[in-house]
Amino acid sequence: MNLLRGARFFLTVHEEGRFGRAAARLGITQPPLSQGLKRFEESLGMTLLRRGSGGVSLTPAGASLLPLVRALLVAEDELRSAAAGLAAARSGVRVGVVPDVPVRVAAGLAGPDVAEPDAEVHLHTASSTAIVEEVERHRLDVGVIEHPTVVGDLVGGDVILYPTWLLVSGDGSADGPLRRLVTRPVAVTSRHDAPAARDLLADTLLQHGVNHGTLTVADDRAALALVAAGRACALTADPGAGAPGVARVALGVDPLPLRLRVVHRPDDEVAGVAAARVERHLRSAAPR
Amino acid sequence: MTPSTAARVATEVQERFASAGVRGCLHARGLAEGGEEVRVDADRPVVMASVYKLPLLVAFARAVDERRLDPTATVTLAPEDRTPGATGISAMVDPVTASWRDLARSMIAVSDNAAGDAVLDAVGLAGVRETVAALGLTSTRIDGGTRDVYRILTDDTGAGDVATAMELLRDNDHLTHSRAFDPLLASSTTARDMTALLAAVWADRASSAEQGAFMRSVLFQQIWPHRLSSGFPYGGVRVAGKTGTLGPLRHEVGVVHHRNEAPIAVAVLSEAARADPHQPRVDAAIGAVAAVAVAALR
Repeated sequence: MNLLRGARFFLTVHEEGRFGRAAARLGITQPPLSQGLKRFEESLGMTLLRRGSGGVSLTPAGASLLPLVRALLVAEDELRSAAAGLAAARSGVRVGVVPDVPVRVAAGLAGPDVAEPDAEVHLHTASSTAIVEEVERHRLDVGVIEHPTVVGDLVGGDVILYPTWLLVSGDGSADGPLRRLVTRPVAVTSRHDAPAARDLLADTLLQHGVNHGTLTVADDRAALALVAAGRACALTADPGAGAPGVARVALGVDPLPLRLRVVHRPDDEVAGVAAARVERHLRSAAPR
Repeated sequence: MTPSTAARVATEVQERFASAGVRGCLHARGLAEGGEEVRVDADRPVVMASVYKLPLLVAFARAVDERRLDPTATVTLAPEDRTPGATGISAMVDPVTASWRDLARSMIAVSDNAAGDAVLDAVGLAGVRETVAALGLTSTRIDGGTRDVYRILTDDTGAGDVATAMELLRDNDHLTHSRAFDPLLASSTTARDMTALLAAVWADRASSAEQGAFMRSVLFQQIWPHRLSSGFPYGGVRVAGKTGTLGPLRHEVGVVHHRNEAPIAVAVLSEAARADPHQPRVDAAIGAVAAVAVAALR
């Protein structure tokens, strides 16, 4: 029997609660659904769903196996999506980039520095955590991520340092050590985006006597708005980021640089070549 | 444990590893007859760091059983011959005389590098490898002592000395590559092999009962509270273990005894993304994942 098909039937019937609705969602009629589900149960040697007049409910065995069925179907979706991604990518290189990379630099990745006449660069913006996952699953070929991030089996070059600016509300006359400059919480994106890098930032702030903590925001726009409102400070590696009433204080690459790494799968030579070009571009495009 | 419980526990362990910024492996097994297991990436080889002192301790105990070593005989370690380190005899400046069994104790209780390398010299690398093979730890390879790791690190980084090499490893702005961190080239093991070793020690399958009792007593004497032990912050429980720390590596393998319950062996081997020398979040995560696994096995 087709195990995946049976698993799909089981999950759909459970989610819909009724055979009729499940059949409609699956785009089939009720008899093949009913038979397919029965065969699935037989192949596992147990009853997974209790059929009653009020609909269906899980048996204890069904409840116990449900998470594994879900995992199986998630894996199937991933397999299909990775295959589709591979098919789509034959003519190009898919590069994931964290939003912290300055806009001009990121756009340059799609230019002649990196792209080849017969190989387009497709840029995707995502968090470091998401990019690592997508490269591992063959949905991206090259990742430009924040360092430090857990990269698993992926490989890559050394850390690339980009200078940063502190965005603070005021006229820009602020001067002195970091603890005098940062007088509000530092706006950062979700810790989940890059846990190790976020923790390093928080710990570095403490190291320098900055005790206002961090404030989680959706993106750099939200951060800038909070700075303009006088409620937060923010760090940016983008030389163009700013707003009226927001001062930029150059911090250079110490102690709060934007640390980047370019990663790819170890067995993927094509991606390795592209990663080397991406890395060269990032190094040459770093603002001084 | 139902399949869905096992899947839930594994997911929680993985999420905690990710949140702590580490790539981690875990294996836990109940040491009673028919004990169950929890596993997360339990068969991936990981560089051992000071966890290697655990198989070395077992090799020492077997050498005593075979009367190749007298545990009460004394030896004097001269400062100039000793492997450096932050603890124990490694940290001292004058000649130290101790019995072999107290050197073995110091290498486990405080991860004394000088004591460890002295015990390794006495037991011999071949003795440790024989022990590993005899106990069926097929995913474990022992390539030398702490002194050898330090020499490789110093050579590979071009640092000139160990202290400078260690400094290079603490830099978040640059990566430092060395054979000392390659599981294929350095001493390495898996989480599953380490719980198998602990199970053998606890069942007196690795040595005589007398030496088994000695090994368990020194593993209970380990002083570090920040890793496995941090997962069990209450009375009525005892944790025996051996840590390993080198560059970004953060390990502890041990046995958790709840009073009147079967002991549970846990191995957590992890590599942090950050290079910082002190990473309390990672240490706490090792305790937290051990607690999740042990809770599922009690």
